[in-house]
Amino acid sequence: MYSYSEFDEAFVRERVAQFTSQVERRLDGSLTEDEFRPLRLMNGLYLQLHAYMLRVAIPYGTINPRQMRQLAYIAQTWDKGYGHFTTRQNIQFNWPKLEDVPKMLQALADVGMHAIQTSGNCVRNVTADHSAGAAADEISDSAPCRRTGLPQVYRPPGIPVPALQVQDSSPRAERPRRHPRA
Amino acid sequence: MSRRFTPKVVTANRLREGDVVYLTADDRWSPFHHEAELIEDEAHAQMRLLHASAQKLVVVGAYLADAKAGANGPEPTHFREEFRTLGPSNYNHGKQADYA
Repeated sequence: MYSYSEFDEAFVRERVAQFTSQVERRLDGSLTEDEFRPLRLMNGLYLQLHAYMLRVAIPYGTINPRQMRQLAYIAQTWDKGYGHFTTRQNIQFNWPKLEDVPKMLQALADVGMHAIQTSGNCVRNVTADHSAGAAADEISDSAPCRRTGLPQVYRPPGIPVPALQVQDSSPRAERPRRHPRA
Repeated sequence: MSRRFTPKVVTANRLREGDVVYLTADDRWSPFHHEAELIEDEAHAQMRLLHASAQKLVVVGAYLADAKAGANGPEPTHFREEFRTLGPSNYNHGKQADYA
């Protein structure tokens, strides 16, 4: 399980308070959509084809029962009673109302979760086989690798991540590629 | 010779809910494409778009979408807009479910 330090938790709480104010200012017209768009994206909130969408980070794709129950509570309280798990093992809520999103972020923060760094040009997650460390036929346990890798690119929240070397094993890309943030 | 103007509707998303909406001839925002004003004049289309874009506390991202006259009102001509009239295409959990 990924767990935050006191600094991280304080940072997340501060971001929730900031975003709550930003939503209020968008709804009263103090912020234009052009000003608000990058702010909502930094907090994982998209405006998609049919509605708003809030993407929540699930580090390593692993959560504890309390967090899972909180996700269910959020879905039932402020969405349509369900969410969609993504290919990066995060979760999306596809029907939130803008004014409810700060409450959703607050509920996430209460169980050590957030939606920071879930959009844009950034590392979304570090994932591995969900049975890593538990499968009888595995050659090696990849879980320690993800636990080592994620903090390098994922924390502290909101701080720009360093450049990352990505080794692609396909014949077309034999050399490591340098990506600024992905 | 100038190209013939393709009829349009004005569409956007509601600021608070994010729902897809269409501008009607009597200045309402309707969730139904067939209630939209079908605009067949280019200058009028630009005026209606300006009118929509000025409603910054009501809608987000207003734009003109191609449409055609149908039996019950305007119909979309592009599959993207057709998706927007209904909701997600995998199963009924968008507008299909809400307005059924």
